[in-house]
Amino acid sequence: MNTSPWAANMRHSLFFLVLAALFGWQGARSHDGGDWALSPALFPLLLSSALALLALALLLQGYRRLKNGVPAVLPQGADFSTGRVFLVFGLCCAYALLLPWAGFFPSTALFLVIFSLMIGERRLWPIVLLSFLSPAAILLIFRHGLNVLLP
Amino acid sequence: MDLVLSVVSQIDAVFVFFIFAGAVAGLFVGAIPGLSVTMATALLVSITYTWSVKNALGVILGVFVSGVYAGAVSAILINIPGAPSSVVTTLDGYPMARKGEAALALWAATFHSFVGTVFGFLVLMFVAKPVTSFALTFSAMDYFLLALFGLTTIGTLTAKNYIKGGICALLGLLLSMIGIDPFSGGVRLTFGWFDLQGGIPLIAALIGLFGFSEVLDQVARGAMNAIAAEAGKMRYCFREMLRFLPLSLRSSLIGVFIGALPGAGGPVASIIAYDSARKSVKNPSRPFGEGAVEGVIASEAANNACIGGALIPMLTLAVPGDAVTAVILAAFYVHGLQPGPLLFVRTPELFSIVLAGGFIASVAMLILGMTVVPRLSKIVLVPKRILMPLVTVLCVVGTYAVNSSMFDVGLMFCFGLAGFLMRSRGYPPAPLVLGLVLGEMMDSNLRRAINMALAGDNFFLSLFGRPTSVILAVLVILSVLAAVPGVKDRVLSVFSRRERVE
Repeated sequence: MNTSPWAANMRHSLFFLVLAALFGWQGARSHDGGDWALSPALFPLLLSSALALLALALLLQGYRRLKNGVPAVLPQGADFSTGRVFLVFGLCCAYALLLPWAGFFPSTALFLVIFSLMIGERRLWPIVLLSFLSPAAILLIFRHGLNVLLP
Repeated sequence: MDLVLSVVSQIDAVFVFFIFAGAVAGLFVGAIPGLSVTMATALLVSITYTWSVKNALGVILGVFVSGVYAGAVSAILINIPGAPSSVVTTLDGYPMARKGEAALALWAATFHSFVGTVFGFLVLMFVAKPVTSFALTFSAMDYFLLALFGLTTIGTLTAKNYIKGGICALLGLLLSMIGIDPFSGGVRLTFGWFDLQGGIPLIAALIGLFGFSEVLDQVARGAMNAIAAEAGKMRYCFREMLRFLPLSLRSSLIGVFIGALPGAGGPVASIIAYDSARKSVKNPSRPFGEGAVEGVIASEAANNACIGGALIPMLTLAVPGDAVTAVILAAFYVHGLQPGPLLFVRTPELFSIVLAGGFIASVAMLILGMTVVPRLSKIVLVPKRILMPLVTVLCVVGTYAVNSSMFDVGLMFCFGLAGFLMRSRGYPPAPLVLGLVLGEMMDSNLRRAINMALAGDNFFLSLFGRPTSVILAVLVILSVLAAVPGVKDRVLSVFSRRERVE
């Protein structure tokens, strides 16, 4: 696979074209059969057409820059790891699933311990303070102080 | 002079106390994402309905003024805007915090929010009626074009590649269409998913795209030290801030006018003020988007000036300018008062109470900004190993607090992942959020405008036949053309060639 950002832009444009088609299809389905000026489908169809046009412009731009060999700078540094991100995202999803089942305090404490260990915190006291004091403080402020419901 | 004396005569110790109490509450409500000023004001209406009108209005105005300002605190320190109107503040505020200038960014936000608020209330005091009559001339098409202008400018502001900025704005608009159509009551763009019938919750999108995506971005970079090596020292240098007064007043003027347009509000005002600052400030402290203090000033002055602006149609016509003023309007009715044209005849003292409350609330905000907020700026010194897990939990709590829905929490995580992927591929999240905010306003006004034009004699003239519509349409076209590579240079070269010939 070509790793140039311009080639990546071309791949993104295909994704946006698919997205525009999907939104366009869903938008057209919402047409109620009445006057188009008042139809709920009007604005979504206009927007998905505009999205398709911009996606084509991105495709063309990527193709021309790739062809002309325009240099590009990658936004992220050398240490950039998408793998770590998906690991943390997985942990967050597990936390969201655990919350209604185990309750706010235990699941948050467990989540904070695992998350801080995962991103490199090794000192015992900061982990203990973070994991037990902060959910307690949040519970006190939000639930009892501001009367806000917690998961 | 009579009005000034009447305003001064309303001030007493109890009134000031209630305003300060409201301002303290507003500071926390505004700074915590998920707790909105609208929600706090609505709660206060139920709590204060047995109080005297004056004290009830005092506490509500304290929350309103301080809450709008406080959205900037979390925007600057942890890149999570406390409210949609602070989205633009993140563009330069957070880069400033990362460069060790959190204190300066907060001080600039505090001082110029104060300037914006006072300016807004001065306009309310002296020119409420002419501003209202001008705002009432805005047609549905003008509202559509105003929102479109806001979106076209943000596309140029936040994306190096204009096409990518435009794609993000369009995606935001499309996402805002999900749910039940307010005109026909039909369901659209839900892909058969029942939970999406209520639409995309704005707070979940806001927290996910800015807060959680920042956590993921930091995790990806693996740099787990503090956000900045220093928070910077809070130097209350008024002279330095007064240097930016012209910019602040220009932004406030934009804010107060847009605030007076019912339904437009802080997000539009802050984008347009930011865009105007970007074009008018010749030598910013840093390039805009990389930590220019001028960007923070423009955004904050404008969104705070909106407060006075939003109160203008509410007091003179009983038409609320935004969600908070709609709640304040309800508070008026609860207390048996009737805002509108008869307000100045039946209860003239009410106008003076609102003005006095607004001015004292802005002083309370300034004092809190100078005393409490600097302590909050130390948050940037906490190592990310500790801060990021905590921010994630706050993202969950803030999202859940709005609708008590785990579905919203799931959406927030999805928006966070999408925001991270977008940022790492050069797609800015700010236009997407603004698209989400402005989508409904654009959709309903466009359909209304087309419908009215179809009923008229000349379709095109009905849409664009008014001076305001023409000006706004020209602004939209210029804004788009300015972003097309080569167009600006070509225009400039034509002018310079003419000068040489002459």
